[in-house]
Amino acid sequence: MTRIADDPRPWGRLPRRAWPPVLVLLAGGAVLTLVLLDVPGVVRAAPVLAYLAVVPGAACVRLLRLPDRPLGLLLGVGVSLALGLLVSQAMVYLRLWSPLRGLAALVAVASLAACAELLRSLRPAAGRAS
Amino acid sequence: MSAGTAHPAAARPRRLAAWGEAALSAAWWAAPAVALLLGLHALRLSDAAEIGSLGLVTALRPEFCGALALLTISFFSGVLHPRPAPGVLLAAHVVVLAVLLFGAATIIEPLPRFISGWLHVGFADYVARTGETLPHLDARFNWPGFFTLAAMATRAAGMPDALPLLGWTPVVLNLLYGAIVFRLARAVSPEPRTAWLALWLFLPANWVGQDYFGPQGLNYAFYLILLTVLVVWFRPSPADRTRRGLDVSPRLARLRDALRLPAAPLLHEPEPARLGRGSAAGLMAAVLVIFTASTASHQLTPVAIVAAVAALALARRCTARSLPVLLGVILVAYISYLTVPYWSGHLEAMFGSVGNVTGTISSGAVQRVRGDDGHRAVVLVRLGFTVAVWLLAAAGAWRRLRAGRGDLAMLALAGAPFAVLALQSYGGEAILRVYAFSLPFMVVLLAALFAPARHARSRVVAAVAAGAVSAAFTAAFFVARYGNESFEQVRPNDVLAVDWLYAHAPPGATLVAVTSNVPWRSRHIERYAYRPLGLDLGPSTLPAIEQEMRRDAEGAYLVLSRGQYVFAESYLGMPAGWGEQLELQVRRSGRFRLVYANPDASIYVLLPASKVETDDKDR
Repeated sequence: MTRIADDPRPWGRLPRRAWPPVLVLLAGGAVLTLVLLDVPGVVRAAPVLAYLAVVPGAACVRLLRLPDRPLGLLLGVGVSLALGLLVSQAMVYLRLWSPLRGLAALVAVASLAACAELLRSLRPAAGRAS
Repeated sequence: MSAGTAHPAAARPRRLAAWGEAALSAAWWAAPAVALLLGLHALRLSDAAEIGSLGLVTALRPEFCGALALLTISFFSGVLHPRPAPGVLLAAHVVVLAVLLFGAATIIEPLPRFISGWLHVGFADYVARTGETLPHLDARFNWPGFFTLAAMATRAAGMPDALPLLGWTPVVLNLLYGAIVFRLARAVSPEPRTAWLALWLFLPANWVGQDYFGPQGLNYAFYLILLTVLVVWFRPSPADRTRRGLDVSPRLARLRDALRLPAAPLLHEPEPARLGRGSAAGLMAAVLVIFTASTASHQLTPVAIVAAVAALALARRCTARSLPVLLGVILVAYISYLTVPYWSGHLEAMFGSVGNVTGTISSGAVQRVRGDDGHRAVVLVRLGFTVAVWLLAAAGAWRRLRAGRGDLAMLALAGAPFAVLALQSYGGEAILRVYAFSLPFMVVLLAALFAPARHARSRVVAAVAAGAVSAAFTAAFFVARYGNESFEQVRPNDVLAVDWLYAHAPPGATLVAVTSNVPWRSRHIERYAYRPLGLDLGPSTLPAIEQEMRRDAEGAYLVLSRGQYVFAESYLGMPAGWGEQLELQVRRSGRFRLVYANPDASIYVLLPASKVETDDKDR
């Protein structure tokens, strides 16, 4: 059964399923802004660390539409930490070290995944019906 | 019949029962908050100066035990009640337990504990400043992923270094581990009680102390997530297992008969979750990303992952049968190309203990029973705790199998880490790591000792028995985990001495200590020559100290501190008063000049050789 709240509403309000990817996009913009404005660490430490630990992986894992949501979130944390680790190590090996660049790369990964999910959630229900 | 039409005498017991239920519910909701406040209050009253040779346990106050007892009673009454407490309430109990267990030292002690964590802060600091690693300076830089991640994250977060993360890392990581263990236990157990019990017992049983700020703590999370994904989403269906013939093999049938298990119990395993091809492919990509990150950040964990996945594949409890081969290829490729500076000089360390199981057990257990009486007692408690968990898990596994629930995946994963004993002694730590890697699966099996309990009487017995085991685990936890706290705590005066050193010693100078237990290298790891490096004991006699310092024409500094003396006496088995005696010799020799002192630490420089000779002649 398709819930009414999940139906796309082209006249304005987003369907409920579209909110998580929108939040991912907003969160990415917010942490990049905090870093670019060089906001003091007391303010930006918690959001930036939380973003790095959860969001990139969670955004990717949401694309898989796993039946076990809590385990999906834990997998998202694992993937986030793994992606952060690989990106930072790649920057060292490629002599491209820049924490901002690393953060931007992870925001890009999360945003791409979020865009894919957003497009899927805004697509007409025909695909789902078939 | 409605309450309104009932006879008043008949309605009274029902009303009393309702009141009782409401009171019990209120007590459940109040217990975590009361236990947290009482526990934090007790920890704040504790004095780090009371930490003795048995570690933190001598500094704990009775109120703290009261807080833990209240929490334990409330949790077990909530889990094993005929109508269990809500999940969010049980989760609150677990969070409070994690804070009290893993935050105790952080709250009592003035500085984050454990010098290895401080060193990892220094590694991350070097990467953040230079964008490079130092693979020739320290073997860990050949697997630098954790340090590069910490460097990127802390700098992006606007932090000058990672020191503020040290204190609460164990609490955060154990909550993460606990959440994964809960999902794992929930996926392989028929009722939620078993999962809650497994989670509760996992926390105190995880005394090993590999959850501090370092690569192993992060990799343990990778290990748990990866294996849980395989167990939950890549297990074959029962029909598939039967078709492949494993569960009807004559060998297993004979084993079942010997263990007095019911016929074909292994067929009763949980149904696998159904996934589409796209989801399965995406999950496999996630598994590979996590494994690659593990390979790039730790020496031992990827080996344990390959062993565990191979065990799952051999037991036919993983549909991705060729996954161990793929993971092995990734591991070998990384070691072959990106750790050359390490293995080109350490082949003996890497492969010297392959097949030497008795040597590994000896270095991991027998040789660790050393030091003073307190430390020997702590090591014996650790060994006893380890064996107790394994025996209880074996009993739990037998009970699960007797009940007709096959757990070949859990048994394979609990047993796979023991293969590490045949491959690596890991500096004498292999047994600790085997315990840690097998623990999540052991506690799932162990929890089956207490659940399910179908009848009211058996539930009471189960609650009492589980509470007793939990109390014993918690008591043993504080001795096993914090038993070395006399030297694993970081003393503020030792840090002040190091701060003075960094402010006054010129770059390139040699910094000499008599043991490795100095809170230095949390910055400036490349700026000075540190002695000892990679060894517990440095130059420990007056001539050896002088010889070490005379090697450096640029100038050398000798740091003597109480943290070093306690480490040498408690852990390395030096006689009591050894450190103070050595410092007295240094002071009376006339060859050293005191340049800094505080009540716990002092710093000396060598007098020029010409001046020493003149003084000797004058005498």
